[in-house]
Amino acid sequence: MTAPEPLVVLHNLEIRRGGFRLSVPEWKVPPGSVVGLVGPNGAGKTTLLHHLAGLAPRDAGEVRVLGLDPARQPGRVREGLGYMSDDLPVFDLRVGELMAVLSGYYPRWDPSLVSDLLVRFELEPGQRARDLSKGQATRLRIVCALGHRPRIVLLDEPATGLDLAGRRRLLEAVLEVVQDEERAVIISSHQVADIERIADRLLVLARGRVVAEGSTPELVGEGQTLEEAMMRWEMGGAA
Amino acid sequence: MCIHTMTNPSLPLSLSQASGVPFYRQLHDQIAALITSGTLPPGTLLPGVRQLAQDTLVSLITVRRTYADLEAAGLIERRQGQGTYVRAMAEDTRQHAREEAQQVLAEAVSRARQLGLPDSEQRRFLSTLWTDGDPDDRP
Repeated sequence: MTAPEPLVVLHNLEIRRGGFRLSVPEWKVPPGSVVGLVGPNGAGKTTLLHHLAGLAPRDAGEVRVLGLDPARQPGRVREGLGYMSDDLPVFDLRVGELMAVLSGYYPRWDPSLVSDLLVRFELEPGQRARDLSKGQATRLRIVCALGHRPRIVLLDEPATGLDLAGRRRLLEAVLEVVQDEERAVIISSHQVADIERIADRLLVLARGRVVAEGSTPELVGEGQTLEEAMMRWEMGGAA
Repeated sequence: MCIHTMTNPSLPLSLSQASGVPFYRQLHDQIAALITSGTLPPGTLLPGVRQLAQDTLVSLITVRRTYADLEAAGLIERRQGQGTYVRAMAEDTRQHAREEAQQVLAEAVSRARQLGLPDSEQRRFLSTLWTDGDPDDRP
């Protein structure tokens, strides 16, 4: 049996922004997996996710997302990709109107999945986006990222403002995506224990460098937590 | 397809992050207890790896490890293309007995050789034991 084609392949990626430099020599995201992206603030997590989503250029290296170069074909990459960030603006519409707008952008938008997600994330189609609490807005962004059944889902700090029940829904939604062996999730979060709980693999970044990469049990030793492992990697600062 | 339709009732499992016990260990111990107590009788189809991961909110790699450990312990068996089942304990016990008997016989043969009894004589001697022995198992 041949190994399935990775959904993301990176080779010698370099991104420079002012004084900051992100370097990732090699990285692959296999389908059917949840990959946790962890590291302190300023590690380069958001920069990396931005690039994969076709939202920012690179300075060097080769990158393929779903077999496409996100710098050259960002639109086509985003057809098969769901991107969520806690600072993504949400148009001031009612929730149901926003879903209708998004359905026009995505040929594969799945209305029955979306109404199911709205129920699970306790959102009403009639709610106005500007009236939503921080946690509700986060949940709305998650639904927006999943509604077109993307093959790869990028979640940048998707737990911002979520209470325990909201975080539980989020973990459920992530593991729901990988019920399909063809799909994958990359999730970056300061909720290190949640990442450790659901991630099959980890990419650990600090100050723009790869500190560790591999399967979660390989990187986090027996009787240890990811948080403790991160301190051992001496990344400085809080996770 | 609906986002979360469970066709089988989920297993009564509860994982604690605060306990300090790794999730794969907690899952292993709880499923093993369900099997040995008879709550999950032999032949029960267990949830698939991806389903159990979603039910318990742990990674796929954690569930794979749990199932591998349960299989190594002889509590479950994976049938190619069919799924994972609770293993019949009787068969498990029989297998153990078979292995132990083989070991005893191998030791006996080895000792008989050390004492200088040729293999042909060992065979003849054994055949007399068989005819004297189990009346249900005569050739």
